[in-house]
Amino acid sequence: MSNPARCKTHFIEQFEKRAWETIERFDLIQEGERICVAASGGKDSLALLHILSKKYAVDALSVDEGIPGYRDSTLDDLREYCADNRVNLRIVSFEDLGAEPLYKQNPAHPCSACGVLRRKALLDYTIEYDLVATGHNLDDEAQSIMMNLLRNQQHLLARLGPRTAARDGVAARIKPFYLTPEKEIRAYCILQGITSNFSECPNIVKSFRWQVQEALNTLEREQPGSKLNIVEEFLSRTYTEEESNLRCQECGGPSSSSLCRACQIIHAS
Amino acid sequence: MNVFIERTKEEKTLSFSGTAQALLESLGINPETVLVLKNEVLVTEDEQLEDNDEIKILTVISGG
Repeated sequence: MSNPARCKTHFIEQFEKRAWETIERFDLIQEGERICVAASGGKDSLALLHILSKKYAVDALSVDEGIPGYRDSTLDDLREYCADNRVNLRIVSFEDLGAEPLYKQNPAHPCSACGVLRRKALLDYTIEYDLVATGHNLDDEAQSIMMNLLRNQQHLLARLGPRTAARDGVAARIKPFYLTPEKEIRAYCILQGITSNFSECPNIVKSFRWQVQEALNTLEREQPGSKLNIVEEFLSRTYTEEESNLRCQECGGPSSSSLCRACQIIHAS
Repeated sequence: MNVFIERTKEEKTLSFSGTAQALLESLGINPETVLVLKNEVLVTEDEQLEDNDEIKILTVISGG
């Protein structure tokens, strides 16, 4: 850790306090709302399950993309955590969606195809919930903002933020770690004895996100507070995206054309 | 000093005495991306490390 002033007890207290303050600041959870945690079994989702379980009844949903040698170990951590803490866990695979596992698809842009199918899985399997909580953290959000700016896709900024509104048949998405640095999440897991084995997706080095992540970590080291400044600047502005009422003719999910990207991938695989 | 680097799964034996920050700099690792365990205990960057310590450098970035 970089802050030497905090002992273990105070670090844990401050870490959890920031998550609760984020939930309060952005009005993320209302009493009685049914919450599903989108869990990969990595440090972010395990820490999120750990904290939310202190105040709320939560279930967990995980998506197995089918990347040999990658997801297996984090799913084992997730199964163990959920069994030990009596959290209901559901694991769905790309095959459950009607698609081939990612390694068989072998797409030119694996992160893009993977992301589309993961989002579809979350849509299809969280219908009975009011909220889907994700472990997205400060680093993730700063990266997403910069990726959209660097690609001049400013209309997509409207989809970011600590809470995305529920739409017809789609649960709201919330990010309680929105203002929490990624580094502190791993430290929290270690100090709480939460097992989270590091497992790296073999496709990550092909991604634009990877490049932005490297650049931001270099910048943060030289100019501490840069990531938080990016996110707070984003929050000070209002971004809007023209609402599309189109629905996919195949699955009925939200889409910008007659067939959503997920169904296009499923048909092609 | 034995050093395990989680991300690359490398194990190194070094002769080193200095802070955790200095160790990371000597290995070319950005401290923003890792945590350091000294003899299985999480330490801060200003922690003094000695030759007989067992060091683990754990990555904090998401794996995908």
